Amino acid sequence: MLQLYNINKKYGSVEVLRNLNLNIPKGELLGLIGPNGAGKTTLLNLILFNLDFKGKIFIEDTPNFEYLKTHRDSIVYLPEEVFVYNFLTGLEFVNFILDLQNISFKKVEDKIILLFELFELTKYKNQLILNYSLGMKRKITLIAALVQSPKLMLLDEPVFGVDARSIIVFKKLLKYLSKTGVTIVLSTHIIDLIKNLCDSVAILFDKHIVVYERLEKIRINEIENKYLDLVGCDVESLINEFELL
Amino acid sequence: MIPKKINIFKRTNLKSIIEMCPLKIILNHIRVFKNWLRIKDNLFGIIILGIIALLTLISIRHITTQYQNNTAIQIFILLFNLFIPILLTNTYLRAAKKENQFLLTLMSKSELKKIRQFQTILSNLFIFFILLIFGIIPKLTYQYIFIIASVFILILIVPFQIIIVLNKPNISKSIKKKNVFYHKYNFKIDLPVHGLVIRDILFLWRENKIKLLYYILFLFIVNSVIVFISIRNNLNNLYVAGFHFQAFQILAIILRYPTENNSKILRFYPNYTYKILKTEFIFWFAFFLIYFGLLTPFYFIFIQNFSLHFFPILTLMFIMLLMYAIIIRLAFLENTIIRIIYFLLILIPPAIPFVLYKCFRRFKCYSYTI
Repeated sequence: MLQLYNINKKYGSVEVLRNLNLNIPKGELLGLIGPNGAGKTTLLNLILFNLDFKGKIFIEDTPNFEYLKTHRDSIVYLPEEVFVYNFLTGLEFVNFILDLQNISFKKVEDKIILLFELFELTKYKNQLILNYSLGMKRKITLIAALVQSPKLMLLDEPVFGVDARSIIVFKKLLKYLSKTGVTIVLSTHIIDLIKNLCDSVAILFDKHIVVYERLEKIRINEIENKYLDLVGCDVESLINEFELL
Repeated sequence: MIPKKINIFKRTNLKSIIEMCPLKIILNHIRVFKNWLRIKDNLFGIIILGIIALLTLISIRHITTQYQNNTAIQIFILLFNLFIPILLTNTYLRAAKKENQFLLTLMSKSELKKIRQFQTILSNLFIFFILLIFGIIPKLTYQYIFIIASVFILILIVPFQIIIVLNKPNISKSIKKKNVFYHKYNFKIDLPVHGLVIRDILFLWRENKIKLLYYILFLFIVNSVIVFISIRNNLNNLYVAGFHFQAFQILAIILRYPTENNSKILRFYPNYTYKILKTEFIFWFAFFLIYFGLLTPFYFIFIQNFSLHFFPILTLMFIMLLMYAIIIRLAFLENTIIRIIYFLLILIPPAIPFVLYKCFRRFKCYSYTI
């Protein structure tokens, strides 16, 4: 579904990605982790061709810039920074996004009502987003993302600030979407989310993908240890030192 | 792997641009605006702004009709007709700037660019024809030639207007830098007054370097033109007007200057309100004195009849307006437009006590409202 070959990206003189390769099959739910500033968000933006880069990216065997010209509406991207129109109601916001994607509101009305119910926003749907909390704003963007029928979902820290119940609902919905053939790239710092949800994990460190394994092949505790080994942090000894202080 | 052949021009024709929904985005903006007006303060502000704009236009029409055959007035009308649509469209584009990042998650950059171009043309021409149809501007000698030329100019200028909103739409690095900056200077607030002033200067320089350089260049050109004209003609009023214009520019900076730093400080330390008021007043008044202190010798060298007879009155007027602007700036941290609207209320003197009352009430309850 998604292939990245020899990706190189620089911001001025700062190199962010070097010779990065990744091949994600259709229907895979990939968890992407890496330290702050490793280039996870940049990578997602490169897939969407929002930034210039060196290398090749193919989506469904088509170069991404060509694919995006014709199939832009089959990709959903949920950025880390939430943008919502404060002076729209929750329902109006979802309606506007559907409108831009040329999806009839009536066709998916039942789905929207159900999603509002699942994310506990039903009684707030006709209130201005201005009055929403941060978590509620995040939830309204999740609803807008889930109501579409994409082939590829790029999610950047999607559950930041969201309550526990909604995270459980979101995880179940992602599992279902993945089973129906939607390819999902989930960039997050929460390793537990990856453990419980994803089919595979990719660790982005030192400008390239250093680990890319299916979760069946890797023991769950190994992810944390591997990650800590990579970033070079001896947590146990530091905690011991802390206890002594 | 062989890429599939895809018609890359599929979305570049006009039909597809309309399909890609600039009109839907405009309709959404109208909906957002309608909801924005549901807030009492905003509705009140817009009504006041509307009245001020209408009074200004009526007085301009009155003056221009009297001197309609004068070439200078004709040039003024012509420029005014172009300036108003461009100014208002730019305001609209700036207001929609944050939206770009969001729309880029739904469409490509080139599509977004086309949509913004379409919106800009539409907005420029819409405002221009509103000015014409409602007869706000009197007729010119060559009215039809003027209309056609204006339409052309308003279409040709669109790419330059678009640059304002579409340059660097997606640089996450700068956001990171900004955050580091905020942390560094916002929370060290046990600084003395001069520390807050240093923070303001650093903020002005580090965050708005390019804008500031453009501004300096603009003011340099303005002063050069004034001096150049004043050397050849004995127009004393011109440099007096120039000084006033620049004093008002300082007030405009105060009202438009970003308020994030103050918002963050006041959120945690609302009792700092009066300290910040004092600091900002000292800072901007010192800025005024240094600026004109540097400017005066420049005029003195080139203009023979130069005198500073108007300066004490200008300074007094500036001190009053400065206090008013800084109070408004701190009371309405959330929105530049609201700040400008409330500042313009100074044109209706009976409204001033109400504005000040509202500002001080806001200062009192900062810990709850921000």
